[in-house]
Amino acid sequence: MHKLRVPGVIDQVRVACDFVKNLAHQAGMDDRFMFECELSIDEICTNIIEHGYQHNGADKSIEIRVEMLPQVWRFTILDEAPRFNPLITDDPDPSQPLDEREQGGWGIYFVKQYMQRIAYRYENGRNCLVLEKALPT
Amino acid sequence: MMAINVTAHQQVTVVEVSGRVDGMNAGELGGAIGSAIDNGGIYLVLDLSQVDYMSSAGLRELVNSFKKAKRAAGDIRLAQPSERVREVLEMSGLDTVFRIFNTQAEAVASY
Repeated sequence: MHKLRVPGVIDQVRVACDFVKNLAHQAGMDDRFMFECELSIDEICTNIIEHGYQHNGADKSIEIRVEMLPQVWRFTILDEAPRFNPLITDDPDPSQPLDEREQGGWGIYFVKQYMQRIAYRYENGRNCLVLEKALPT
Repeated sequence: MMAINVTAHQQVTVVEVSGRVDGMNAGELGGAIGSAIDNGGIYLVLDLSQVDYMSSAGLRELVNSFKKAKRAAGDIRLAQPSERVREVLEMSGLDTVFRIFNTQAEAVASY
């Protein structure tokens, strides 16, 4: 398993993205796989920093674990923000007119399009989001 | 990582963006477009041909800028989004909100 722990500030999102992209590159994954993993990690980390830490997470962390399993890559993202399950919110509707849309919710919506499994749990005082991405066939 | 170049083509303001648009710098893009609108440049073309990555934070700024332009009786039209940017526009249904053109010249000429 590969692991990265960064402070909960916005400029660290790119560090997290590069960590995942480099692993995918080293493993010989194609551009699409890398993009879908990168965008997913970006959206989750940005949500944690903006909403969980309210842009005040310099003394808190985001931990990313990557397990390269035979069929899937499993990403586990842990944060110390107040308990929140991002999977309980309704998905935004892409067909809804702009004026009727609520702002937000698109990040996790994109993650749902790109990942085959998403699960949330709260353990040891941390939010824990698990994403699974199937390997290209 | 991101560069913004704003130029006037008669009544049309062209905003050329290059690089990566994400949560770290999306506000900068929104600010640049907002300033152009405040200065009277309400007919905008956003050239995305050199943007290789845009997250939902970037889309949020596009939507806010679009609403601001519409309130001023203007518009924002997109030129040449890359494959990856077009993909996130389509996933969020914004490809039916914005008018999207294959080239900057076509987008400018559409006004």
